[in-house]
Amino acid sequence: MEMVDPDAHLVALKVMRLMRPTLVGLGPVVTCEPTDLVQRLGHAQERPDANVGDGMAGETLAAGQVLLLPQSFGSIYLGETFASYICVHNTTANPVECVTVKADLQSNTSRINLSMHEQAKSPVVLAPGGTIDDVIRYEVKEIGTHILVCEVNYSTPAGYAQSLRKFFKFQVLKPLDVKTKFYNAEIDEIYLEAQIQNVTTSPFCLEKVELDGSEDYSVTPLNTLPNGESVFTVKHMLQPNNSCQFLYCIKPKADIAKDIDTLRQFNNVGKLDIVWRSNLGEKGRLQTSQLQRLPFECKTLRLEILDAKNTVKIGTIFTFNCRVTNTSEQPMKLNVRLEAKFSPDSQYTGCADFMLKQLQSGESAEFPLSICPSKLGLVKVAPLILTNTLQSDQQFTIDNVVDVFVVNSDYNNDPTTHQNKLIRYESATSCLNQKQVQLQVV
Amino acid sequence: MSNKISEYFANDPPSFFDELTNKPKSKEMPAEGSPAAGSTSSGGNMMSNTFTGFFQAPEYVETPEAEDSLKVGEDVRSLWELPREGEPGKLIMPGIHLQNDLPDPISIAVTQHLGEAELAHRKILRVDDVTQDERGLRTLIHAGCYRTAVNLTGRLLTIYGQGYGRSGQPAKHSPHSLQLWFSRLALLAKLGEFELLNAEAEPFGQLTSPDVFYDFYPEMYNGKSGSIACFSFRLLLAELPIYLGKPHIALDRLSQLHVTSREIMEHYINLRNKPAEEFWQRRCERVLHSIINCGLMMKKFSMIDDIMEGTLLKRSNLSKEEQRTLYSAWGRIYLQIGDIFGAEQKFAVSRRLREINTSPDLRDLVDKGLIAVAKNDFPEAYVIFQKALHLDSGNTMILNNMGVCLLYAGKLKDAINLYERAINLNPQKSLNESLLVNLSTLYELESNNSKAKKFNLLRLINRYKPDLNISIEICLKLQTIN
Repeated sequence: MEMVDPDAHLVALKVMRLMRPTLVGLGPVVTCEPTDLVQRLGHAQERPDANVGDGMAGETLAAGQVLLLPQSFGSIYLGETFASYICVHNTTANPVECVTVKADLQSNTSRINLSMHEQAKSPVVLAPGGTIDDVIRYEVKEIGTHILVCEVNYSTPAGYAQSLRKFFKFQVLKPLDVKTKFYNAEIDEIYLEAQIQNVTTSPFCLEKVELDGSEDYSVTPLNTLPNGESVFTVKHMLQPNNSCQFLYCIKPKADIAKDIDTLRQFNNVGKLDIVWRSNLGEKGRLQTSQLQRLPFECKTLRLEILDAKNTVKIGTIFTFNCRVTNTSEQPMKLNVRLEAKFSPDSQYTGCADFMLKQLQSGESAEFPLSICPSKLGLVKVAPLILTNTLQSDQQFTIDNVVDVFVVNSDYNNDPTTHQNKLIRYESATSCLNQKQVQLQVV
Repeated sequence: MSNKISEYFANDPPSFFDELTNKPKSKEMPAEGSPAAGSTSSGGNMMSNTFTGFFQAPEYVETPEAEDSLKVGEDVRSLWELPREGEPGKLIMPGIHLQNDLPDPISIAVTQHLGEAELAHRKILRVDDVTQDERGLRTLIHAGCYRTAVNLTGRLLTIYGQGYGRSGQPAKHSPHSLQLWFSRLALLAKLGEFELLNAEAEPFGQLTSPDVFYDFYPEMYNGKSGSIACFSFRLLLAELPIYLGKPHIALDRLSQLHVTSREIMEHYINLRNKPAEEFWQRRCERVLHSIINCGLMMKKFSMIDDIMEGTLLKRSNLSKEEQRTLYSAWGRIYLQIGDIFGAEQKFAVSRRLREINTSPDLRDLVDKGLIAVAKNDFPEAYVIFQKALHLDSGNTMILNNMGVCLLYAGKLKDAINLYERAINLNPQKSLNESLLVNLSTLYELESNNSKAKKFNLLRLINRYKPDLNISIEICLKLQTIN
């Protein structure tokens, strides 16, 4: 009585994507009060299950405990794991012999075989109504079209080899955008601001954002308060299209920090490692490519302040040493000019105006500068104007050369003086360019 | 794994279903119209023709106004200021929008897919099986026969002259007639009949017309003032847009309701009337719960945090049990967004609040199981849910979750078996919406015979289920049958 479809196979092949189940409640929440005509709107079997002897909270908050299987394919994002249930079923009343199952995931650039359990590899006899089924998993490593190719081979009772193939096409989407800003600060420090944006359609939670420093740099994350709590109030949760920033302080390790040329060569500061979770813990993980720090010098010059005290007494001379390095390709002949205004508001007296010897590319010169502070408190020494007389009076104005704390002459709280080593970079280009970063699966 | 399943069922007291399912193969008869279905069914332990039972209405005993620990007077309950602004001439003129009884989609689906003869097995409570009054209404609701209950409210409202076709015609409101309307609309919400609900609720607006206040009928109520409509009715009308997919409107209305409730609470604080203050505080909190539910729909998780932390958990006389419920629900909200650490923290608070030296209870185990699910450790989650089942054997939610874990652990057949056995043991209880959706999904994944198996489920629903709150086509995924 069964209609025989000429194309009918002896086995059926079913596939279902297993993203995380969803958590649902028991349907619309409607409540009454004891004095209402209907005192309870639940029936005898509908008591909220796990809430023995609850007050109202368990019944009226729609935070359910019931797991519901996924009812659609949903979206899949780069860095997430594609999991799928594959089931091969003998639809006939007779055994089917030599059954093998194979699943491949094909992307634009690769084709990967996804292993099922042992049973599926060697040919087996499938009893009537029997199934070969398993879960396959694969972390998707590419954006764009993917095709899951499932193939079942078996032989008919007459001994003919038969093959049944099914294709399931889906798109792998981009989950997040990462943009970085580098800022070269004083004393060899570099600050990195990483901005992570949720470009999916639902909120997710950033479980881990870590900068793995390369072997030449050490990293201090600046994203927690002194008590160890995160600076983010809302648990790293990101709504669609929202973004948040993470800040890191990066320092070259001692062995490369001491030499400018080495420092120049090693620009890879590390990679950002990002783990996020969405619906009921669905996990994704991505890493950025190696982040490149800004070039150390923008082909001009570098000024270092050496051995400067940070506290001086009023009325004494404050002297500090400067080292200027020609980091451009061309020779330089610099005029150094420190200005001081002669006004009652002026914080210090003392000025300088002299020429340095000609500096070849990479060469440096040292010179001392002195001022006499005339006000208590923090005194800023500035501006220092360096003029390159070889380049039609190319001028560098350094607005904040060094700060010194000026104290009263009877101040002797802290006898130790601190040495400061400051490095300044003069550059024409902005140091704060935002850069989009490539993402990859680890 | 399947050994473990039989293990826990072995602990259950024997029922007549066991007798049926434990009989040898001869009992496994193929379902009609599908030659292969019987022999290929996994275990074949759930053929509808082995079921001889029917829907059994649970016994309903009237309890006099029970439970409310907070005894306050009617004047406290119905305090509500007559809105001064608005159109004083505008009165509420409601009417029923259905000429006949609410259609029963289960009967319709059964007739369509299985034939009319099958309907003989449908023996749920009908309107005429109960007394035509509020006691009858309560009996129907207690039995879960919500559609029949809606139909009874229709009859009772017709007596009040507010039946079919009376919409737009002058009506007189009383506490009883408004309670009937509230019951009817609440039931429609529970049934998921949102279109009808919206249409019939429309004339009530937000219950700001003067004719739902005692002040409007000075001679009848001796100058009494306050709201005739109950607070639950106001809440239902405020939340209604949630069901229509407009949570932002609901949020506005609920916020307004919360403001008014707070004002009344503060009024009682000033009067130093402690019971009345506490009574209204509970109402404020109930409104906040609805606001949280709105927030869940709108994914406004930071708002939820603020309400939980800033208000709900701040009340000084919260019982430990109430706190545990809140923390546990809060943790589940965190889990939904994927914040496992956050969820674990909240669950841990809930756990610590449990009486010292007691073993984990159902809530703890369910929380723990859900964490394991979030961590993608489904075998572990299964074991935890299994422990929970020992505390409450036959708990449908837990059985439902165990089945999901089995599938993710690669055990499709075990999952189907588990669900079928659960239905065997207690069809009336187990045939709930989520378990049906899950089982139908598994049937579709398992084979090409899902149609026969789903029809089999339909037969059981026909026998045992008065109502479902989502459409039967969605529950059984009938739309995908070709």
